[in-house]
Amino acid sequence: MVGSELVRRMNEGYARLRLEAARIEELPIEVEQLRKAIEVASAKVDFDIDPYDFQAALLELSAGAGK
Amino acid sequence: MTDWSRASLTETADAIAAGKTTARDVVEACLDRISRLDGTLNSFVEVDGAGARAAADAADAAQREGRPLGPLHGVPMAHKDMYYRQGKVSACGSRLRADWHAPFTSTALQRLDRAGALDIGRLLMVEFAMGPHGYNPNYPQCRNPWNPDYIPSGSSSGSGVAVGGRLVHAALGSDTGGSIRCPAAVSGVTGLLPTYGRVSRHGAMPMSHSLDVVGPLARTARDCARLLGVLAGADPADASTLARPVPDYEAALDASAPLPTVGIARGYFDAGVHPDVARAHVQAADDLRRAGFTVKDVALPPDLLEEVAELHPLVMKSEGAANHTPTMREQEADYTFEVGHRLHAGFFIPASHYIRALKLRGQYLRAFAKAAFTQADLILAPVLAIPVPTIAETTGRTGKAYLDMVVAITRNTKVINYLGLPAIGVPCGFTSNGLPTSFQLIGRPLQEAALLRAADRYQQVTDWHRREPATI
Repeated sequence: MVGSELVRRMNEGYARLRLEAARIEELPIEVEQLRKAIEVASAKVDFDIDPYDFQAALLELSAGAGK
Repeated sequence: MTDWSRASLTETADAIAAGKTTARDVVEACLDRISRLDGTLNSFVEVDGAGARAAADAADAAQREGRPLGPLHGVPMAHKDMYYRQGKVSACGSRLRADWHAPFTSTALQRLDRAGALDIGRLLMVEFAMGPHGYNPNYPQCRNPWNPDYIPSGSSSGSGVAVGGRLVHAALGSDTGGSIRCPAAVSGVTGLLPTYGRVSRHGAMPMSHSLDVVGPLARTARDCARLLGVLAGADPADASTLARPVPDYEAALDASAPLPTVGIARGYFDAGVHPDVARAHVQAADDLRRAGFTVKDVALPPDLLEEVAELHPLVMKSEGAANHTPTMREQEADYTFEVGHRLHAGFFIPASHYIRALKLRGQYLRAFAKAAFTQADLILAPVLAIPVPTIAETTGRTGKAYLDMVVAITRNTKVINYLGLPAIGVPCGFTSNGLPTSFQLIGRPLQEAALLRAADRYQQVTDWHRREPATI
C-alpha cells in the first residue's frame, strides 16, 4: 500500500519535486491505483518475454490482414 | 462559384491539379474563413498568412511551368503545434517552449512538404499533449465549432476545430490515448490513428514514446487515405517504424475484393454508453449493412480490456515523468496547474513496474486479437460513450465528478493505444445537445487499408461527414 510517507521519502530520494505537503497527501491515491494495475496483471508476465515482443506481435498479427 | 475551403482535401487537390482553381484562391478562401471565425474558435496559435500566400503562388507557378505535382499540391493544412520545422517556433502548448525554435524538421512535415501541401500555421494543443478536454490556459479558450460552449477535446484541439470549422482541409494530430479520435469526434471530422510504427514520430514532440502515434484529421476517409499514403513508411530516424511496404491506400478504397466483416463490440466498449450515443451507433450498424457489410455482435473480454485501461496510464505517466524530469524539478511553476499535477504520479512508479507493463503489451495484443479478429475483421465501438461535455462541465473543477468526466472521454480510445492497433473515427450522427458523435473502427495491425475502405463505403451512404456547423 502506497502512503504519503512513502511518497515523501521517494520524492526526497529520487523525484526531488517541489511538492507541497497537501499534494503529498493526495498523491498516494493515484500512485496506489497504478501499483494495483501492475499487481493485477503481474501473474501474466512471462520471464522470457522482453518489451520488443510487442513489435513482434504487431508484425505477426499483421500477416492476417487482408481485404 | 465553388467555395473550395468547404470541399474535401482530395476534391480540392484534384481541382487544383485539373486547373479548376488555384492554390492561391484556395488559400485566400481559408484565410478569409480564419479571419472571420477563428476569433471565436481560437484554433490557431499562429497564422502565417504571408507565408501561405507566397507558398501558394510558388505552387501555382510550379504548375504553370509543368513541374510534377504531388498528391497534396497547393492544399492548405495546419498542424498541432508540436511538429518541428527547422528554425520555427514549436511551443507544444507550453510557456516553457514559447520561444523554442526547432533545430530540424519532422519527418511528417518533410513528407507533407514533398507532397505539395501548404503549411499555413500552428494549431492549438493541450500543454505537452496532456489532457482530453482540449483547452489550454496558456491561450484563449479553444471552442467547438458546433457550439462554442462545448469542449474541443484534445489534445489535438485546434486540429479538430480547424478542420471541422472548414478553416483548413486537414491537420496533423497525435494520439497517445485518444488525442486524434476524440477531437475529431467532437468536431464532426474523420480522424485516423495508424498502427503504432506505421508513421514516423521523428520531430514530433514526445509525450509517451511507447504510445504516441502520428496521424491526420480530415473531412473524409478518402482524405485520410491520401494523407496516410504520404505519411506512412519506415524512417531510419525513428527506430519504432515498421519496415513494411506502404500500400496505395487511396486505390484500395475502390478495390472490388469482398468487404470485411464488422463486429459490434460487446463487452467493455458497450458499458456506460449514453442512450443518444447508443441510438446513433445502432443506426450506424444499419447503415454499414446497407453499404454491403456483414455486421454482427462480437463478444470481447471485458476483464482484459479493463486491465489494459489501467496499464495504459502506467506507461504514459512513467514516460511523461522521464521526459519532464529536469523542468518539473526546476520550473514546475511554468506548467499549468493541471498538467503539472498529471505528471506527478509518474515520478513514483518503480522502473520494474513500468517495464512489466511494457512486457505485457504483446501478450495482451495477441489475446485481444484472438478474441476480436477471429470473429470479425473490424471492430465497431463508440469513440466517446458520452455526449460532448460543455466547457463549464470540465473547466476548473476538481474532485471525483470532474475526474470521472476526464476518464470517460478517453475510456474507449486509450486501450487501443496500449494495443498499438489502428483505428479510424467516423462521424455517425448527433446527440440531443446538437453535438456530433462518432464511431471508431478498429483493425488488425497494418490493416489501415481495410479501415479506410470501410469508412469510405460508410461515407458513401451517409452524409454526417458533410454536415457543417451552423456558424459556417
